[in-house]
Amino acid sequence: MRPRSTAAHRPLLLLTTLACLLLALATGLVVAVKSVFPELALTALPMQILRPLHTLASIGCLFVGICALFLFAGREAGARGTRALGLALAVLTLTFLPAAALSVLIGEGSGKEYVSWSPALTTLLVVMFVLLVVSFFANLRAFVGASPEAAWLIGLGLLCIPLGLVEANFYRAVGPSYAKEISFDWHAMDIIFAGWSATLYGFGILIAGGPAKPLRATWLYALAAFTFVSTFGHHHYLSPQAQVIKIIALTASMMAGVSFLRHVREVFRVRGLTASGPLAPFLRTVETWTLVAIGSGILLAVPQVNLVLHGTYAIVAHSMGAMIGVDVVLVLGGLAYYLRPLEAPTVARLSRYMRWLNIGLALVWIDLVVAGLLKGVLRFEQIHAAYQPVVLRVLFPLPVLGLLVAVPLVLVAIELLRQVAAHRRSPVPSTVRASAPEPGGSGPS
Amino acid sequence: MILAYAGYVLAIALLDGSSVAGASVPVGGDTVGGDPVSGYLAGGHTWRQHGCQTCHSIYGLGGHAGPDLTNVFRRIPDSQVRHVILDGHLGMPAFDLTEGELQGLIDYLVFIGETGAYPPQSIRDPVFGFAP
Repeated sequence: MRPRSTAAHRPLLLLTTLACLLLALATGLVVAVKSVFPELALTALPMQILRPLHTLASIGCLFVGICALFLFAGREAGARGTRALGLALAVLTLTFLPAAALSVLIGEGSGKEYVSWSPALTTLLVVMFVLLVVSFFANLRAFVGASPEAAWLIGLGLLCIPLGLVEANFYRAVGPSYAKEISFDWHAMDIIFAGWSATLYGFGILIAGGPAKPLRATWLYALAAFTFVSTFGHHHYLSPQAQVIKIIALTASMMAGVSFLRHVREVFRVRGLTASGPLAPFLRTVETWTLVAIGSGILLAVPQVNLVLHGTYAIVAHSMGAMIGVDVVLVLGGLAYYLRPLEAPTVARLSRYMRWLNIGLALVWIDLVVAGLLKGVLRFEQIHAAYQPVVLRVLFPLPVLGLLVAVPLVLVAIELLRQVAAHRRSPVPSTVRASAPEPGGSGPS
Repeated sequence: MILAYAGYVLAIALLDGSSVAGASVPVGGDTVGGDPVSGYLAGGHTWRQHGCQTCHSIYGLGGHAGPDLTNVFRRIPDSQVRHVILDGHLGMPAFDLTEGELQGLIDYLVFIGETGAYPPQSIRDPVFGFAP
């Protein structure tokens, strides 16, 4: 049995991940209410603080979740130096999160989408991810030994995130050029999105178990790197960005069709192979929403569709489907995996909660897409003041539908907290954990 | 990966905005405000400092609670924009800005308004936007 002090940073990071998730859910529900009733509590609950707080908490959940999963995965793979790394990560995250929240609350945030905290605090995040990158490459053999494909995804993703965080501040250096400012802003965000998704997919492959997937042809990885760097440019078709960048983005986005077809196959494969595994509900949810995210992303990248749906709630549906249905579920599934063994009643409850989450998320997704489609069509003929009341009528159920997403996620968080408490009462020797049932089959690819 | 990323960032930094040949920004409305270029940086700071992007978008990127402001001065006059910012309107709170901050913000939006056109006015609009 390990002495408690050497493992303290892992539960601490796990608890911080769940705290961020709960804050994201709470602020998200308030934002949903304010979106439908914009005149409600204008001063007491200003949107300029609520939304940045919501995105900070959401991103915090994913970033800290990545830290926690890295430490758990590193321990199991036999990586070295994870104790010191864990301590550093705990200090950095527990410094960054309250400081970032405070910067938003007192109006000293960046004013930017997603990267909403004070720019100076980004340094802490960059240091955090540089430490992760260094640790990863120092223990490359251990991670590759666990799964070559997972290692490649985790390494690529961890590289992307600090690059994007640094790029998010490039707008300060471009002078009076709005085209470049908006290009750097959103390319930075897109690289960060791609980074955390790749990293979490890598962990998903590790937790799914089964035979380790070998590396594939080099050209496929070159293609992946190209799409990582350029695909999200479809955000900018209508902005004054250089034409060549838009064409590169269109090309890269259409290449995602290859990934879509592979995930269609994976949805059916995962259903069959993980039917009885404790993580089956998480993995099925991830594969299903990966399909939805990639499919909707490809559609949104078609310029004629983009013309109608860009700048509408359809984009919010796409990003929420991906962030919640894929990224958050991967974090929670990963944490559940590393807190194994899971008792049968716990597995049954988790399965039920994931079912509820899928229903709630699907309803939210549909509501946002319908609202987005309506806005996209109506704005050709009408000004905002004319079409917005119609859009708000469609969005009316959103706060209630949001509850259908929040409640199952809270219940999953409570189950994970119970697991942490159970482990503290009766620490599980690593030999028992190592022999705990594997979910079997392959995970996200 | 690093090389691809560096190349792409360089492309963003070096390439100027452009669009489909022959598609130019539709002209309409009054151009108002002071000197857009000199006010751009100050106005951008005010824009970020007050979290305008949480509710408003530019080129569709940003919040959805309020209208897109890319070409706001083609739709409504300067005086109305000032009134909405200082006194609030419907779901928008009032903002206590100095005259300098307000003018900077207006210069910022005027500058942006000259870079292109958004939102699209027709399903037949150029799918890659308009040239400035």
